Amino acid sequence: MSAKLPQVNSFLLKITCFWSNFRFINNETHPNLFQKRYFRQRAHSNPFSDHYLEYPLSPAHMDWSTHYPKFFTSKSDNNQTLVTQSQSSIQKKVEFADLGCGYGGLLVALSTLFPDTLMLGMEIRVKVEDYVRERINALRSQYPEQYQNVSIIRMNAMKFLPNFFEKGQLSKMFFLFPDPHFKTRKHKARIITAQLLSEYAYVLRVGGIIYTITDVKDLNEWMVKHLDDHPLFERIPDDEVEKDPVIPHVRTATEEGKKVERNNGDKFLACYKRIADNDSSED
Amino acid sequence: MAYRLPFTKLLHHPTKNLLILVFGSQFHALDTSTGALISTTRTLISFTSSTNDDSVNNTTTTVINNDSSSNSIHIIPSTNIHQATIRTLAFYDRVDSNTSIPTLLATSDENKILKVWNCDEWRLRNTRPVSKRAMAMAFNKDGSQIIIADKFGDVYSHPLDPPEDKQNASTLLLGHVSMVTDMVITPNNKYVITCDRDEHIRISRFPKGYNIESYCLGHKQFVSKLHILPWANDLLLSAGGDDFIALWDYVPGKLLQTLNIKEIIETKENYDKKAMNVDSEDSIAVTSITSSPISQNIALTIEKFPGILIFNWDETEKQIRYLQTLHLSIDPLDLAYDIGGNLWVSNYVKEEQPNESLITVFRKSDNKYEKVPEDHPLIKQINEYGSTTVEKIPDLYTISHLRKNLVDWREQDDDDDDEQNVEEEGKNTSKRRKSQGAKKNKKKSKN
Repeated sequence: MSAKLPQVNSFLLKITCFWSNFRFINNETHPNLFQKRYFRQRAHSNPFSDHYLEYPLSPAHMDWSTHYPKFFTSKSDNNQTLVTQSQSSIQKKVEFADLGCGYGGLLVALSTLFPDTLMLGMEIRVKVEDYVRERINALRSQYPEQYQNVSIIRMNAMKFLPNFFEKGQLSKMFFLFPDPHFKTRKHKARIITAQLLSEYAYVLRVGGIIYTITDVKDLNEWMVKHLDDHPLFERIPDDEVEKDPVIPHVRTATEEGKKVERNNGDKFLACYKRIADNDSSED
Repeated sequence: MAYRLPFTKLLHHPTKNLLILVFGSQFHALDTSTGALISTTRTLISFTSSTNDDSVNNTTTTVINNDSSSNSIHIIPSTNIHQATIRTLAFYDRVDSNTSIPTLLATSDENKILKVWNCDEWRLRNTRPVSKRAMAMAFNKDGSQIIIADKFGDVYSHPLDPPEDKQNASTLLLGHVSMVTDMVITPNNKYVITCDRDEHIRISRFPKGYNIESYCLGHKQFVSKLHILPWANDLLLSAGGDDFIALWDYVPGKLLQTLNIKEIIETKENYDKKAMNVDSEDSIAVTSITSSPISQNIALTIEKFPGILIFNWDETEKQIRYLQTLHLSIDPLDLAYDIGGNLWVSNYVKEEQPNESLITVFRKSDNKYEKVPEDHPLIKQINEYGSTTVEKIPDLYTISHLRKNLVDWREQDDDDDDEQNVEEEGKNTSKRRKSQGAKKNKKKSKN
């Protein structure tokens, strides 16, 4: 217990000093960019509650045009332009998902690195989602041809992932500095569990990658244990991980990552590849 | 004041003339070909409605003597029985004669106790605690494992007999971040199908539940019941809080048909809306679905609806069609087809109607359902013996509580240490795809 306490404190401390990063964004980009201090929210959310959420009946019912207007035409316009619509709608699907994307640092960094890949951030906290949406809108108006491939949705990814993504649709899933849920009785609320990994394996294609990073050693061990134990995931060796171009961003692009850096904290990275079930015909 | 406790669950054995009737923490076993009681957990007491006119409580109790009619009844010793309400039960049906496992019945109760009964000799085989309350149970094909879906959304596999050294030998198959409300294992033993309060139906490989095959998505409200058609094993019926029932080709997760049952009970049956509080939009809560392989009929009950909807199977179109409604004077609680295609119904007999039958049977003859008269031998004995007496009949409408509301089921044992202000959000009219009952975090310490 006493060993855990300092960690809790540091985690809470990190949240409460969020505002300190803002200047940073401000100076770096544009004076009009939204200041995070107006979008602060407590760092925890109970994933088991019935939140007020909007989600599609199934992936086929999802209208992505509001999220990626340059890539999708609105579903309501469909009737007139059925032929062109069907052509354009098969071409693109969201491929990267950032679960618990927080203030969206990774999305913004990867957007220009993979300009043709659609990426979606999922965040359960209302104000944080508002912030990221405003941030993306501001970036889109500032750089008209860029940042069209990133978007954010307020969602409980622990419950409704299959409503958004088909089997094998995603190629990358990010779990960056997730809520550690320190107390043992809260462990079931962690975003990596044996049960949830099966859902992640469902939306992730064979060969797709799960990225996890945390500054909490205990959580890292928990995630590694569950990923190691899951038959559909295989750890990517460290030397191979380092060749992955997204890794520097996984480490530093998020607001959490920057904060850990400022505090000279440790970062524990673990990446896993989705593999096929060894004795069944799949995918 | 003492009232007869209604039978809350009926479960018919798939191949034998054997019906289990659950009442509270106890059960009877009935031979559905003769109407004779085979076994019971309760010392038999018969209820004879007295002829007295001030009706309500003039039931006299007589302990049945060991006369000719009852000396074949196995009475299960009271030391073996459940101490709390039985919530779910499952049969193991020996499919091939090679296995040495006899006919088994598993029951689990409110106190998280799982019991396995040997139905050939009617004795307790084993008893053990499980970690969470069971919502649905099933045996695997060879009867070596009992699969239990619990209230916290996880599905565990338990060995038939608990090992002596270790109390808990269960293995996790899968889990939902939601309450799992029903579960079936497909007849080929290849998939386990689970449904939850968040509209999902998940098809996972069995026993490798970590490998999800597909989802059947299309429900807009909680799903409460799953039923695989015995004559078309690749098709699944699902129902819950929606106005419709759905037919799925479940392996690819493909929706084949939806059939609006709300329309049927409102229009075709000219049903009195007030009786069911249909003023709110969210009134349908399907409590059970069952079917008869002989007639290929499907029977369905809805909470607070005094009738049974019957559907038949259109073999050429591979669709289900509404056939008729069997009217009842009392709301049904559960129902079961026997192997001859007769439909057994348990009635939610309340305080106001103390003399109504606990069990009603509809006989199937010449494509017609005929209500069996109350003095018919099939139901005479069970209605006379009744169940047990209680001071007050409990609320047995449990399914509609699955609808999303403001009090979350998980929070009851979650100490939400960092307090949240629960802010009421007007209940939305579920037209849109929204989780109802918003819970917003209000920042307390914000300055």
